[in-house]
Amino acid sequence: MADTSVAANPLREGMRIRKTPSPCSMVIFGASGDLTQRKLIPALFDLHCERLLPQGFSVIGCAKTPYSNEKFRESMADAVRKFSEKSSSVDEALLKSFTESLYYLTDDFGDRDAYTQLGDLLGKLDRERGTGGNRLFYLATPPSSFSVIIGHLGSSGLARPEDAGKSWTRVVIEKPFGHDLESARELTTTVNSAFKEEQVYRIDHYLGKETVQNLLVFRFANGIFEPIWNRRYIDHVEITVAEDLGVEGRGRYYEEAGLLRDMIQNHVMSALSLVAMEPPASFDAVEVRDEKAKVLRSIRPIDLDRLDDFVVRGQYGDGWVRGERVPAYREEPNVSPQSATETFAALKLFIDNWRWADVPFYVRSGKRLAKRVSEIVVQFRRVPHTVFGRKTQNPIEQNVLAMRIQPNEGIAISFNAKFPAPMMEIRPVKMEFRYAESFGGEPPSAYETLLLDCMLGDQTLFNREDSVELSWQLLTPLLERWREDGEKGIQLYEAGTWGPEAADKLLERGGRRWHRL
Amino acid sequence: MPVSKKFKSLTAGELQSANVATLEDELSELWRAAAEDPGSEHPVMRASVLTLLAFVEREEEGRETFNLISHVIAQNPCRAILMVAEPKEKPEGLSAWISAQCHLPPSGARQVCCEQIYVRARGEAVKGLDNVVLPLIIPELPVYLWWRAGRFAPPEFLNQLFRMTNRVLVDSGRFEEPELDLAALAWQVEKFRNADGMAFSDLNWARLTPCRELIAQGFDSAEACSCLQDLSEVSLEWRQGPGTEGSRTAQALLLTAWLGSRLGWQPVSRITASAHPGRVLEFRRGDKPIRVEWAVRRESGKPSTPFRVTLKTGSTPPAQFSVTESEEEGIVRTRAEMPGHAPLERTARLLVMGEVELVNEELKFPERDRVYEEALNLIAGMVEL
Repeated sequence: MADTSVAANPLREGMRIRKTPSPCSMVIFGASGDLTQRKLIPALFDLHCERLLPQGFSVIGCAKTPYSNEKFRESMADAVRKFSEKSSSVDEALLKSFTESLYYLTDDFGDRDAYTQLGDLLGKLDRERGTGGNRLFYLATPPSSFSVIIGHLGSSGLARPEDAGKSWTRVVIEKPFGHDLESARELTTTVNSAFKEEQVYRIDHYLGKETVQNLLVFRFANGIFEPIWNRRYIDHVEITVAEDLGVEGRGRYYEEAGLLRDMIQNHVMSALSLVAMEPPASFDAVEVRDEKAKVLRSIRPIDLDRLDDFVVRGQYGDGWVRGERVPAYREEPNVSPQSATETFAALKLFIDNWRWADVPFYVRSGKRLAKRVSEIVVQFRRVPHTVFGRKTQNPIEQNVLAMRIQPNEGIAISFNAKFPAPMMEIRPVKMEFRYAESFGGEPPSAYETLLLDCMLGDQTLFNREDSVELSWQLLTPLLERWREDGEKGIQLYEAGTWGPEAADKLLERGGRRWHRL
Repeated sequence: MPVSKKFKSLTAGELQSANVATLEDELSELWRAAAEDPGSEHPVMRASVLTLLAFVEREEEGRETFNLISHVIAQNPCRAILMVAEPKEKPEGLSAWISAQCHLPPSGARQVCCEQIYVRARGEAVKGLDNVVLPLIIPELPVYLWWRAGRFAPPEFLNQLFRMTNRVLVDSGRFEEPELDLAALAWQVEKFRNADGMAFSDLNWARLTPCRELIAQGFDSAEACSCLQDLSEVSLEWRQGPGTEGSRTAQALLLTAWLGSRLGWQPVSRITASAHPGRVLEFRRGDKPIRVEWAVRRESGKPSTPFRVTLKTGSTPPAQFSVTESEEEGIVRTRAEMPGHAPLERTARLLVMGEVELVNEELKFPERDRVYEEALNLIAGMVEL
């Protein structure tokens, strides 16, 4: 792989700000779309403000909409003013300087000539702006365009660095990475026809969140937790990714996707693999991703003959959220009145390896739940013997470690303490750490982190093809079964609650209950 | 005064006098009262990620520093202990005051509160200062000492405290004789590193960091990077401004020494205490001479950091790279002129950090700054020539 660092620059040594990448050009396919305007361009501008973009950095927007460079620049400047993290205080001089590095190419993704034009423009920027032949292609288009674009990038020679060893070429692919195992494999084949795996960055913005990354720090930078992070001490693990929003006008997309594809296959499985993985030899892309893949490979296939014991599928009905009446999923625009699409799923999973044998991992995610919260809860086993016997009136609670990913990011540990009284009264107490209270300042947005990682050639926080396929391998049989079942087995739940009762029963059968969020 | 009322007045920023012998007990009593206060809209949480010690030599600087610390606390929750040592003042004795700083984080329902302790020692009593402060250091958390007292010359009466300190924050912008004081600091840095593993930060170096980053960024491309070995002229230009000569000289030395130590320059010019902006320093890299000029221009604007840095190669035609402040505050223009290429310009933000921001920034980094240490060593070498 080309040397992507700027370590050769002796003036860089010891700099505390994140390394800035080598000068490069970024090509955004789907430049007139929502993702570009809401996330990519504002994140790039925020990086520009932090001086984290390299000198000469250039963006070429490609889309079918006929724009001139000027029109594109105006449109992106508006997007920055509206969606940047710094939108309340956008510096117009900086914004002007940033938008001057934006170019536009009207592009029919299927037209081979467009790629010749793109190659010419990239060459011109290399000469004029010193971008050194380094290219980052970002596919911000619907997945249906992926194979056409990748095919043309390959056949036009743009997928390979012109000067191998000295410059680099990378491609960023947005989720969904396929809609089942077969389509994921097809996508992998297409991508591999033009790019090598080390050039491919499958982005899941969830992994760019500071608190998700802190999971690794918490586990592997603290000596006290790892020795008890196993079946001997842990009773079960819960992962919840809950939203109080509905489908927000994305009914058409959601009817095709459903919650399992939208949340569980990527975000939840990523979180699970970070919680359950073995310590990697180093915080390096290959090592970390190897360990994540091992976890996914060890998850026991879902027993489709005993589906009710392992899976709950739900769909929200009408109800109240934040004091407002909200419609049922089937009443949302572009949703079929007979829709069998799930908006909630809860799964009981097992990881068949020495560390986690027989420890259930309960995962749940849903829309229109009681509140927006993402949390990982590790519940420890009860003490093996209660020495206090009849001297205490209350049962001794199990210790709980809760890692809050959003909002109010932080970590809390509950343990038991003696209540100050003459008798032996034991009460659970909570010790809590919150990011906002201990560390000031705003963390960078997930897209800022991940875009910079792409340019720096760090794949640690991106999904590798094997993990994507392993995740689909686990979930595709369930999706097929649900497709066959249609409406049968779908549990309706009232909007603004914690999902169907069956999700509670999933834990109650093992004498457990969801941690209160 | 009832304890809860006392706490409310403390969190309003009031200083309350306290008994030097029982400071920790008094603080504990206040926190207990705050936790039990039923009338509080936002419950109080005491937070600390470090102990911040600050040292000043005059009462008036103490008051100023105390105010600055109250802003630092919002970013870095800590127990802050300000020490005012006035060995020549009377009446002799040790006095202490306590206060609390609370703020509501954007996403929080709880107030985050931190303690500020003010200890003043006069006359012979300065010898008891470390004995009062040592027990107040929070165990197991890093200890930072903000040296806000000009030249770094640690007095013997603080020996024990220095053994507990992980990092010292100085500000060479406050040095009276920057050349000699920086050279002396190079020696102290080595001494403390070898004895106690202590690290040093310099707020004046941190002030220059955004500028250094922009200069470094200009040489990230392979082609620009290859120009570094051919540099023959460097020009550092400051704006004229009142009361900033010491800071300018220290910055000019640090910036020059940073370039020199990174690029393997050997000093030819000896520097003395009479050095001031408006002079030329000479270096060699192999057989190639390098000339560094410091100049003060009659330009308007804030004179906190150099307003223009220009680096030029000795090749024909030369390559030239510059960072220039624009008229708009905090905005700079970089320009790269490489033979055979159109000039490349961009506009970037140059962070101009105040003292509080600088301290906050330095509190994030507990480890040694080897690049700074190497720059200091080069300065020491130039003084000793």
